Amino acid sequence: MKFTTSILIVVFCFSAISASDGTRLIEGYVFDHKTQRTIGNVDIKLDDGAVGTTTDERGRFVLRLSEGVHRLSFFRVGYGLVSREVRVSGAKLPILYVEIIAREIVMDTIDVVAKSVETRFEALHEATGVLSGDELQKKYSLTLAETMKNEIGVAIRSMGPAPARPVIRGLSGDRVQINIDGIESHDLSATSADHAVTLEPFNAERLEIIRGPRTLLHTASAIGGVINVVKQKIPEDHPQRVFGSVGAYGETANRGYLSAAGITVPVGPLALYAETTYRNTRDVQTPIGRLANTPIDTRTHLLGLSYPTDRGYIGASFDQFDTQYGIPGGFIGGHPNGVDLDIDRRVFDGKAAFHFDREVLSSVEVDLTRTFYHHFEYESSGSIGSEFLFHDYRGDLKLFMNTQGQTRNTVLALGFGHHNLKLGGFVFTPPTREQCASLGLYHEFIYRDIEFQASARYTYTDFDPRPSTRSIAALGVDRTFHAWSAAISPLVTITDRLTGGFNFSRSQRVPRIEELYNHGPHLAAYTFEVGNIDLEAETSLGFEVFFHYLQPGIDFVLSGYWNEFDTYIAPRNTGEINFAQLLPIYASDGVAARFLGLEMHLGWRLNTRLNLELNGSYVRGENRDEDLPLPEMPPLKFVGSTTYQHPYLTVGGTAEFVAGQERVDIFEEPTDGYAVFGIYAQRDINTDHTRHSIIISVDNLLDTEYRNHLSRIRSVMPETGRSIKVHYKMFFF
Amino acid sequence: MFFRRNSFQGIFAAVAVLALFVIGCGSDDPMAHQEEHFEPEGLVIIDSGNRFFRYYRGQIDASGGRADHLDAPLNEETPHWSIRFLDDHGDEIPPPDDPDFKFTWAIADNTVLEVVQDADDVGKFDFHLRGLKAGETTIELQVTHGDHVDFRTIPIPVHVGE
Repeated sequence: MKFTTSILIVVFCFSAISASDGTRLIEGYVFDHKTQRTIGNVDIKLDDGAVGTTTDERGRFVLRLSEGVHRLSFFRVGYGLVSREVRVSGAKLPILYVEIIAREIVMDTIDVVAKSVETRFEALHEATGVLSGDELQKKYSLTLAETMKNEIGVAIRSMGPAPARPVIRGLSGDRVQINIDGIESHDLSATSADHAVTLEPFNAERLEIIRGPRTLLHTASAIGGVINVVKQKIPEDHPQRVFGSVGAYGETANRGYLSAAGITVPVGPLALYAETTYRNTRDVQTPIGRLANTPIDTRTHLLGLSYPTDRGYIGASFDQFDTQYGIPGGFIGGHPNGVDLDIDRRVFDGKAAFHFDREVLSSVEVDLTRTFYHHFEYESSGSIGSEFLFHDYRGDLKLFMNTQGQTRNTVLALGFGHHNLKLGGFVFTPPTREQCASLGLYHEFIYRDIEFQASARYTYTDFDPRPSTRSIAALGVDRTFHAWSAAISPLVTITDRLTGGFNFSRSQRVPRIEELYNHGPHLAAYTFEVGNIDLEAETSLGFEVFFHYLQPGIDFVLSGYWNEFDTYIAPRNTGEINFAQLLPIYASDGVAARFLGLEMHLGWRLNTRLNLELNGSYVRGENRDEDLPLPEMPPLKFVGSTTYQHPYLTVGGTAEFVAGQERVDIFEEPTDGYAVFGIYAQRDINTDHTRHSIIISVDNLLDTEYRNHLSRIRSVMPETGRSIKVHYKMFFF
Repeated sequence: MFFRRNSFQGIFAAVAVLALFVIGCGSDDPMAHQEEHFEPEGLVIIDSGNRFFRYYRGQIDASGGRADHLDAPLNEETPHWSIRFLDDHGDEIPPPDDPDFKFTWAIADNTVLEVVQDADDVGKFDFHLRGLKAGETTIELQVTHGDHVDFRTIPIPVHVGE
């Protein structure tokens, strides 16, 4: 409490100082016109040269300007000089989005585009929930979860390196939805700790965590948030010429490598995007030895085609993710010999957008997705232990209403889905069909200088399990759910540097097939899992308060949240064992639960070259029915990083401090705290038609033995030891 | 509309989209049959019709004068022992007759004890114990289905006497 009070005092002191000088802050981001990646080290000057700054590694800049009309110039080596007129007046200022173009383009034709006039909500989102550009390259790692692990409020659930999945604010599974280009990525990673996320982030342009009312445009169940991976699988704009990237990545801890290539090509009036990656890693080395049966072999292919016009586009893409990986064994709670998994996922996506600019309707987006997913779990003899296969069909229609008066944005979203799950081998979940339909409304408006986001969503879901030989499934109990969710979030500009707001939400998550119908041993997870056909929708009320302080050189965000669940559904260790296999029995049950948390982010630019950043997060989960801690709660964590940007080389270091987790559920072991350190160096080389980016980093510099509280294998093996990583990417245009 | 009639690009795009859809379909591959586990909750060991050892629901049942451990003679084989399993009511059920189910075991100290099976009993639920040196060890009796253990006992104490 003292800590929170101190932070608030500091925030208000900053705001008091800033309000006195009569000038205004301008914030903005600079993007590469072709790749849409943010660009660091862009020089920004007033035309009279009186004021200037450079973009940081996220492509972000902040300038203090007096009221009136100014002309800003933007320049970076390898890019053309562009300029932009900015009008400064009133208390509220837009955030500038500026695109600059590679040098070979004739400068006379450059038209600098302000991407949109965004809100303070967007500024807050950019400060705390976005990874892109050099920052994304620097943090890139083996999986999506590893790449995002040091973002605010993010932890990793794992069972070996391959099946890692992000956990946000202590919430896991499908409470955290993963999207690609705004569309849910369908796989089984949310259902079990041994199932991998079927997504390769190497060629992602941007990773973002969507929170607040906007989540309800995507799902009713994303109480934790939505992770959106922006890849532009289907090009939305017509490229002026061929551009793309070639890259490679390697790390010593698993003696692994990745190679990747992506290209965008204009084919007449069409736009073609193609991408391929290949990853191969061996067993992970920890400070106390090798973690057996943890290799990964992954291939991805992606082909997208579109017909962009001035009024929209229509296109389709095919995306294949094929991976084989191992789950370690030989520990309590693990298969004695380990298990090998083989996943093949293919996605066909058709998408269209059309802009009307009519009085009521601004634009329409339609998306149809078909996912084929086939997943095998092999025992060490090579025999099939488990087999999962599903076909999933989704359709989304979004109607964007015309902005009028104080209304910024209104979106009506309709969706449907059909999911057909089949099983084979020693699997216990019954084959089940799932049908769903949804209706969502999102509204953004301003009332007396207060920005509002509000949304509501209704979701209908029906489960139809087919007869099976296992006990619960044999009953063939259909379940139907009607889930209602709503959220509202006002944001108040307290001073020109300080904004504050809150988010209030009521959310309902429909139980998964596994939570309802499971009954039997799960070999890879090495648990005996029991579902509950009487489960009701998981209902929660959430309240969050946040402050965002922004001044040149300082960006500070503080938030606190309180999520209250009537029925928090979680598979809990019952303390009983299944007498046949002597496996611990995990039963799905809904308990009253409470999540209390604090998060902070501080970005501090000490001068034009030196940046400091500090992220902190803490969550406390309580089972209120039994007055016990909830299982698998991330401990208190602080991540500090420093970056020194020399014109020829950027160097930096990171430090991760994690407290021990003593608040554990019954039958759960505590975990010690730890501190790990890392360093990196980055060099960019620009030519007329290429940009080379090389990053060399050392993770876990001191080869510290530490354990992740959310890792199922922490009882026998610590996390990865010292690892030297090399990341190279060459952009051509 | 987006495409002009008969335009080459339109045809190219339509064919490409159709190809992407077909490639993306995947097939309803024949699934491995959903198989049943053999899930007894205990077992008895029978010596010439005498049910001298009983294990049920994770515990050795030494009531009624039954043994609370197994004895193996040094450098000799025990008599021919057979296993019958117990269901969730404690009633006896026969071992599975599917050859995919095999009798396996895990001995804590292989220098103390070994399991011997007659040539025509290999894989079946009949066995002998032979003591290799005097001492104590444990044995875990298992039913292995394919490559995973469907049923296992707790480690059962074994005494090898002089």
